[in-house]
Amino acid sequence: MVDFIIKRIAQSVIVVFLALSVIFFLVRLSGDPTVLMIPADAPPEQYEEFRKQHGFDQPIYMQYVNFISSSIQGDFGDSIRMNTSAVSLVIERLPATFQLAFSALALSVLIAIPIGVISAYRRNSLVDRLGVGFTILGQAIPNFWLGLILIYLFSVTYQLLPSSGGGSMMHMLLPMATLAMHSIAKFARFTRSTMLDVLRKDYIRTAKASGTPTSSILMKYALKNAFIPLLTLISLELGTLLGGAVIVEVVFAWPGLGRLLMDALLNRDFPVVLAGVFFIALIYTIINFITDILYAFINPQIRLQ
Amino acid sequence: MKEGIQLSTLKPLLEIRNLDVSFRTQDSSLRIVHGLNLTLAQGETIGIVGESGSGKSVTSLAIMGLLPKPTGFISNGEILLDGRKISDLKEKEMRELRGNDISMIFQEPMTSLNPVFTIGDQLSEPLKRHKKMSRKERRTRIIDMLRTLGISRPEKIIDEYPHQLSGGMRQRIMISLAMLGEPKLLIADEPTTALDVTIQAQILDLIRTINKQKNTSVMLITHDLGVVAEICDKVAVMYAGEIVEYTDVRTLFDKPLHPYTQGLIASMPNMNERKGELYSIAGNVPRPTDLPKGCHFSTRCMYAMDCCHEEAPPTTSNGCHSVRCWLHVDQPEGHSVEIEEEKNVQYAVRS
Amino acid sequence: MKHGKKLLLTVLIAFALILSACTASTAGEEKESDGNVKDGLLESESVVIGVAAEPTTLMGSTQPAAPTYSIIHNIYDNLIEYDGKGTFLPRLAIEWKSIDELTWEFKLREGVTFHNGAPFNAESVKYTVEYLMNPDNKSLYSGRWTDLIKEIKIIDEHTIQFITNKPKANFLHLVYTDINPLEPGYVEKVGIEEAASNPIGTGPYKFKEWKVGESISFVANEDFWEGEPETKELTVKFIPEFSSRLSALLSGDVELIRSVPTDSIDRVEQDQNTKIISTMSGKNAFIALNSSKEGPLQNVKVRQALNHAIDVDLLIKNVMNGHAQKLTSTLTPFNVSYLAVDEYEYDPEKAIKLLAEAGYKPEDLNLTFDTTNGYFPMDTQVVQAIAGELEKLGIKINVVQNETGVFLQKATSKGMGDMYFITSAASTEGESFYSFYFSTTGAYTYINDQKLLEENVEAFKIFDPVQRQKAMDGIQQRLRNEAVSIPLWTGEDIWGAADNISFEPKYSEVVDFYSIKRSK
Repeated sequence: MVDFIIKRIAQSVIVVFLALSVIFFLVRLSGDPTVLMIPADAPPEQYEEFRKQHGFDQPIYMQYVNFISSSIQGDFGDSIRMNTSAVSLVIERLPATFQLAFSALALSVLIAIPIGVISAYRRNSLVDRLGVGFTILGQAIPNFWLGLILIYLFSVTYQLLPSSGGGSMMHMLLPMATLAMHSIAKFARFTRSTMLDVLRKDYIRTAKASGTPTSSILMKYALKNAFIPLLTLISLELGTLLGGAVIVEVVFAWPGLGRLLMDALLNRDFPVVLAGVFFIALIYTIINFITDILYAFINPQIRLQ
Repeated sequence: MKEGIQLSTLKPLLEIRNLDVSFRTQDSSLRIVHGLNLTLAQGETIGIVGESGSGKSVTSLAIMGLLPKPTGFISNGEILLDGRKISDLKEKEMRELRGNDISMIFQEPMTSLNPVFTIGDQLSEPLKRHKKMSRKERRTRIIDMLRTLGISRPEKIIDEYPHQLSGGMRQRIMISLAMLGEPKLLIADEPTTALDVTIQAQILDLIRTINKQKNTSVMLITHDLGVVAEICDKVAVMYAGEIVEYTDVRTLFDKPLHPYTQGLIASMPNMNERKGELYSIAGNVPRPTDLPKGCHFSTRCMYAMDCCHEEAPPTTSNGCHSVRCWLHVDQPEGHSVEIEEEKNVQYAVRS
Repeated sequence: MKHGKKLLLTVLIAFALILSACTASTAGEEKESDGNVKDGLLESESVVIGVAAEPTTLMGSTQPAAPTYSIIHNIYDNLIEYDGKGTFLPRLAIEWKSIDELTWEFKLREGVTFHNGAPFNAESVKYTVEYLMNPDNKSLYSGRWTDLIKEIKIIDEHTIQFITNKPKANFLHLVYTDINPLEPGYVEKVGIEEAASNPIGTGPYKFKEWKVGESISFVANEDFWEGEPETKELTVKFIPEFSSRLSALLSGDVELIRSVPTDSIDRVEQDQNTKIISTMSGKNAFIALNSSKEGPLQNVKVRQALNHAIDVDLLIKNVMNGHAQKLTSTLTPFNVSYLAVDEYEYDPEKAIKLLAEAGYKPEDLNLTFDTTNGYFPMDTQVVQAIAGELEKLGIKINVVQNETGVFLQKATSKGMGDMYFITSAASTEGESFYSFYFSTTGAYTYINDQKLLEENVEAFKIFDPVQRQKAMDGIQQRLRNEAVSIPLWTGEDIWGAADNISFEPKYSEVVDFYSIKRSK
């Protein structure tokens, strides 16, 4: 176990390091933020001063060396736009991002698994067809559009929920539902196909032969097996939800990390971009680690190895 | 009289009458098992023999009420257990019987146990469903059963997962699972096929012991006549969904009537004669979609006559031996049962 | 079968429970907090405004980008204000004059206090200018002050003098936009980072709370020198997506939204509870005809031909929905130096003739047309329409869409194609616009006529107002004759508002909270 943890930590460090390095060079491909920051009528010296201040006048490999040496100490520098610590800007946004991602994930798992299980059990029935239709719809509708439709329905027409912004549970419902829609579709489809597969297995026949009722076969004996591959999908999806909810965050003006990163990227606020990537990569590796532990918990065959 | 030849005078536990099992296809339905008649008395052991595709497994699933829904269904006939008709029971009533009155062990011990639950979890299932027991009682009962079935260290095994056990062990676990409900009827579908030869003997031994000690009726489904010879009281030979020959074990081996049975016996490896090559019946079991007209075996039968290709033979019976073959029907061509003796010899010298 | 049904039922019940839990708490929530719009009983004082972008700092005199300055002027106020019609109005300064070409004196309003009670005086003005000139403070206004200011003299408690190194005729314009008086005692005590996130000024509204990524809320400054604002509480919400902003307005979550695109004006007007409030902005939309790049556009006749080839009136009607005012000069009427020069009337035949004189057939021209994508109002729509018009004449146009950063980089590094669409922020005096588009040192300068650029720089040095205006007129006339650009229009700043909200938008695009009122 200790070996496993050490190995994983080493792997994580490498993954985070590589992610940061790639992003470091990628964001610099399109130039530096000077023109975006300095007012047009500023004298040329101010441009130069700005570049010097932020080190953009140095050759790129020097910038890289400087970045690596300071980021190792947890210092990603100050946001170019806001003059405050990039790390603190990112950390400020994490709670909102976590809140939205985890609740959307929980909602989608709670809805998708029963849909998938019922669809698999009653294959080709009306319920299954509705379920399949729903999942196709869910995957086909763009988040942007769905978000606007939900706002129109629940905020403008019926005035039940606030249209945008963060803060309360009420504010979270619509973005959560929008974000969950896609995951629900994905999970339900996957649950259905995996369950179909599992329900054909010999051990399910064995359980039936012991007089086990259907509900118990589905929700206990089959689902636990189907859950093993599903877990991979869920953990991948959580990563996506944490890092990539940009569109939903924009539509609902949700104060999350995705929006911060997009703004930072468009304004070439490199320190914020890199600090954001650092945290996302870190969270990703942590999720992976937890997933592996959960795997071992669910699948006894892994535990021994 | 074609129906139910009486091989024993004991009260029948299981009776199958004129059973047809069909599967729905896209636009029609396909009959997989046709006109099956069987009786099995308390404590008796019957072997159902045939190549794969002959319908023997479907028959067992029909008895268990485990035909794949909604495609498979009983299209004719009935199944009675202890005189009670079980072929039209509701799912919930049927569930009461499974693992309780009837149990089943399957061919693949490697895949028949759920990989993510402990042995104890899985073995608790029939007890939970059919017996009122506390957790602790269940555990004791399972450990006892495992020990009875020759599993060492049952206290440890009970908390282990299937992948930690060998194939033979797993089949013993499967048998324990089947026996925990103390069933009247045990259906064993190819219980030894996937196992090593030495383990096979042990498992068969175990089944025989259960049969003797608990007086459990056993239906043994196999393609291996050797296994039948070892533990069965009587045998039904199935071909393409029909029973082609049905009698007691001794009679079958001494005096097989149906050319198919003869072929099967001829293809058994024989310890005493070291043959260079094993006999095999040419061709395969025809698929249910393209069964030949007349006798289903006619396309592979070396004695096939004109009438065999025209019309399906009736079942003829002398009270303890029934066969479905034109060779044993009194008919214009004048063939009779008697000529089989010579033919039998022919089989022996062949190859 | 039966179990399937049972399962389904369980799921349905769970759903119903979740839903009912949600709706129940919604109702509760509304009553407790911001039930401001729907029922008169619970009406609160707070007005909520929806804007697209969030300020990057709340420190005064630091960040000239629109999302910041349009809002922080309400916290900090200004010394003077330019009204967009040629006059400066007193704010925190009540009188001002230039004693000589290098000395400016301001008399400050007495009795004004900062939100923390500290008095506003000459010391706070001096401190603010020194603050913005100090490179450590990273104020983006610093560039135009550091070389300019020689000395800042406090004459008495409420009189201050700026001594400059060189004559600066448009000094008042800098004073207007750049100086947001800071409270020296507060900034020194808490430090810049704290002062930037918890600002203290003299303005009509006091800062209350900044929920990063969400909103900033303000409360009325009851001691404001012009009198206590009518709206007691005010919240600015950041809703980047217009459709969401519109929904927020229609649902009553916000009562005022900024930047309604011209194609959505009808939607707001059709709703019986909302209306459009708009004003001409000082924004200057034009097509730069790049003569710093080798090519046909270095020939003045070709540039003139392009001017004749485009029907600006039609564009205003079709693309801007009529919500723009046509320009002929390089400056807008909101600029004090503006001169209404003659337009190049729409005349495609003349355009073809001019091209022929320059030695081109329309088919010979293959021009690159750069644009941003969503950064300037209606940018891609405008560019597509113009490209379409030019293509009708037979000119080949290659439209290049750029990410904003890339576009600005190209503009400042002479990397643009033959022409590009740009919208300049409101400028109030000729020099502030010409110094960066048409001067020897301007970052965005794109013409190759060095003599003209040098003459412009000379004109900036003229101090006498009459002489200076003459020079500015001359520049405008010359730039017009040289056809350095295709002037398009000055667009409107368009707001959507709840029916009972009154608000006066400004040409400068500063959001004047003081003018926001809700009728009872």
